[in-house]
Amino acid sequence: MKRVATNRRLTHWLFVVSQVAFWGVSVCGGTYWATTSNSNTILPRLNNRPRLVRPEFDYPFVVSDEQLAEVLEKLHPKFAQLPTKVNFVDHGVRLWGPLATFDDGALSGQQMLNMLLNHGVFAKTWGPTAPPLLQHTDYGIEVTTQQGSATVSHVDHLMGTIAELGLPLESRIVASDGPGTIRDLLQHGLLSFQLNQHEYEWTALATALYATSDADWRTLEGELVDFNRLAERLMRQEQPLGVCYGQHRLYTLAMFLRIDEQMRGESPPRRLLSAESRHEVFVYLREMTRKLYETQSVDGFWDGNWPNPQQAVRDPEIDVLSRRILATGHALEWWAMSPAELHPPRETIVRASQWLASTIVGMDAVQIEKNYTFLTHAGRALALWRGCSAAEFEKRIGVAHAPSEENK
Amino acid sequence: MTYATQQTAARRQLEASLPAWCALKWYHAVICAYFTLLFVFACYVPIASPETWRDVAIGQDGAEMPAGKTIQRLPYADGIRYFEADATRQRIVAWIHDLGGTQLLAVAFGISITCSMVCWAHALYRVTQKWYAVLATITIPLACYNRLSGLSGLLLGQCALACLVLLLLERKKSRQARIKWARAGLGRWLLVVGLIVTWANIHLSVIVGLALLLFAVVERGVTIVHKQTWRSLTRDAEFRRRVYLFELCVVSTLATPFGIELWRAAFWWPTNPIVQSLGGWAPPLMFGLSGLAVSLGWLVWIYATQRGKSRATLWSWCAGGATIAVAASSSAIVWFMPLMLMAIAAAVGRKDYSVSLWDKIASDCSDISPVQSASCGTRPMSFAFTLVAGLFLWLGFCLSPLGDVFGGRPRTEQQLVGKHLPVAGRQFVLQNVTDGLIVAPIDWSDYLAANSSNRLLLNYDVTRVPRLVAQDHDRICRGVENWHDLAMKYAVSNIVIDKSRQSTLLRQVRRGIGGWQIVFEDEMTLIAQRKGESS
Repeated sequence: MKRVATNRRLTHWLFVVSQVAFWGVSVCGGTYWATTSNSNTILPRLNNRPRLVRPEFDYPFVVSDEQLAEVLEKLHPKFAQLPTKVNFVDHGVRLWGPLATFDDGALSGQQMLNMLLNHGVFAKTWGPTAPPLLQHTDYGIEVTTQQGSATVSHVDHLMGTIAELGLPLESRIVASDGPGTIRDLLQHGLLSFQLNQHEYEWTALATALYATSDADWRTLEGELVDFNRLAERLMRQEQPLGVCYGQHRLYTLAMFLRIDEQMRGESPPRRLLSAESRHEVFVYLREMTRKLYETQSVDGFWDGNWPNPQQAVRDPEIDVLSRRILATGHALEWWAMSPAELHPPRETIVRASQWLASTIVGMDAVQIEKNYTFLTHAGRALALWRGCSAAEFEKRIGVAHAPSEENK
Repeated sequence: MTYATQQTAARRQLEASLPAWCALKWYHAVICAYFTLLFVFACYVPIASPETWRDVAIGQDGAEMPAGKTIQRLPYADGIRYFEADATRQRIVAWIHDLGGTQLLAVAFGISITCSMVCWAHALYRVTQKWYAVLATITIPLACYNRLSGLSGLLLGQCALACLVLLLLERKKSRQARIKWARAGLGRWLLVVGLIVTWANIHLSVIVGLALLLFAVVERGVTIVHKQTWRSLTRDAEFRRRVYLFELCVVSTLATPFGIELWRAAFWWPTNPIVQSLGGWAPPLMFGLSGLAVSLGWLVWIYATQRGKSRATLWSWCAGGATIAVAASSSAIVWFMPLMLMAIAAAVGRKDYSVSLWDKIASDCSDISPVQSASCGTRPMSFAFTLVAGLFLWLGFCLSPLGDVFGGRPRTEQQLVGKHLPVAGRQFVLQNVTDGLIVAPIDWSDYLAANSSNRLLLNYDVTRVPRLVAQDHDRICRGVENWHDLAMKYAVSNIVIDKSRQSTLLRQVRRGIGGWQIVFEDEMTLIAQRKGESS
């Protein structure tokens, strides 16, 4: 009897202990998983300062000092129509940088940057009735896009510009509903990112410039994105599909290669792309170079149907000169930032750059202003082939500028 | 030997060679006919379920095609968090298809649904001891026709639930229909655990089985607390055993390729794999089939409890839980119907708890009067209904696709899949489209992609791809204004159009918008390729 009672007690306590253990582990595990399984918007680790990716070539035979000086003078950010388009300012600051100053009444680099990143200055320029350019969201700060002349024209183009200009993430900005930082801009872009959204090139570029490694991140939708996947996305569509005749994609891919190369040379070495992905990008860009080489016109330009001149252009309503400047300028721009192995024969580059330079020099102020966004790419491309930015070139050749009011 | 003796000897030849339990009664023949008809009918149900073809196509995903390269069926699903819970089942279904084509899928479906109904019938009999209770199982395929119309995880899950219910019921003579786990043998424990392991590898509806076991624990707990005190809970051997059984089954779900990730994924939101396996959030219409089945089920239960002997708490609770599940997802009807039948059967109560099914079959004296019973030892057993049952089985075999072994013309593919799937279109795709990306109506997608290396923008499982991809797929299929640009964005090379449902897209393609070239057309289907794509 005593033994039976002991056994019963043992069984009872064994049961209690086993239940405490089982349910304790289950509840703890469940609580942990419940709190961590869905906090999946993990952003990649980012440097405060973006990488500096400089042009590697200085070829006077592409464009001479005199030609480039003439071209860049035409492209000073001086606009007859006021207020001008945000798009022009956005592209203008990308061409000239934040330190550029001019003595002909053109907007300085700092002025242009303030117009974009400080809502007070923005509202003074475009008026209080214009939709705000920067506003807070649940994810960060959003840039109003494609909603009129007081908004930017490309998704995350402003973020890409900021990254290329080298602005730190902790730089302060002022949105319409409060202050923030550039990190908030990038965070919004990353969290709201969808791999298959219409424009993704500038988000990819900006992230790559601030990235510390090839770490991936998960969007709000739960989609895992890394640079290999971005590269696949950039190469997926046929050319010339995509914004600006697909040339933004080529530029971003070229920059991926350069950034990856920089990372591999660091200590300890890191990478942006896997070896396989890098090879695929390289092969893809080489194929694009081949196509451009084969389809270049006698005069040196390309048009919106650059992969196949037999096909009609997709946007015949746009002025033919604008289309040619757009296509040619973008092509020269991504080649300028590509490794030398991806360059076409020199003759191809020279014909294109000479056509571009002579065409720009021959344009009047009205044409310049009308095509300003396309021309900034062209001007930047020509400067890059001289191993510097537009502002650096003007400083190098000693073009005198008065200090702007902002910089005093 | 006299003539009378010869007659007697002839009559007793079967009696001499067959055991007593082979002497079937007329109702056994009826039951046999019922299941044979069910099997034959099920074998001829068209294999048109998108879920079946999804399993075939995805089951082939990752397999090496004859071309020597592995396929990735849904390239745009890359990077999306998804729990591959169905991989084992999909490979099995794909293997069945590879082995015997659509015909074998039809037979497999027939066998699966018949086994499920046989298990439920057996369970109902064990609860009621009434032979006609087995015929009530016809309500299950009738009410669940939309959900059980193909070889799918839900069907296999329902079959597994039936087996679990059988294991919870007593086989031998007992006052109670349900087994006492405090006295259950090791074999039964192993069977339950083995069933749960198998179920967990087949479909995530194993959670329904665990819920049933949990209900059994709670039922016992409530009974003890109601009759005694809280403290008596831990001292009750039956309660303890049920708790151990439940926990052992929970732990046994780790014996799968995904291990503990199954339970981690149970906390995913919004793309919860368990919720999606069970049908997702899809409340039924009150006056739809599911709503009516639920209403009728409860009305009959109320009537049965008022006339019957008990309310049999466990099954009623399970039916209540299943009702809540149906309110959230119409797919839960596959759990509700059989559990409701169990609740009704238990409410009706057992006619004679002391007789098992086999004893009843063997007893040839149960229906005769006491006067006759004195001479029952010399009365010859009648095997007439045994022969009738055998005849039904034989007819069933001959009429089913299994009868093709005797020759005859096999059914065509169109007959096998029904009139809603594009057989000729698929044949064209298999022969002429290689390594392309296909856009098609989602209920056609997997059928078109099976047995080929073609990839799909979207298949029947719309949650596998990013939301934007699913939305764009829908826009392309509806032929919205910029559908062509969307198709180019995804590098789509082939569009398959259902002429009866996609008239806008059909018109656009015929007008040549986007430069799509029509490469195939029949009454049902039109296939267009991007110009420049090789056929």
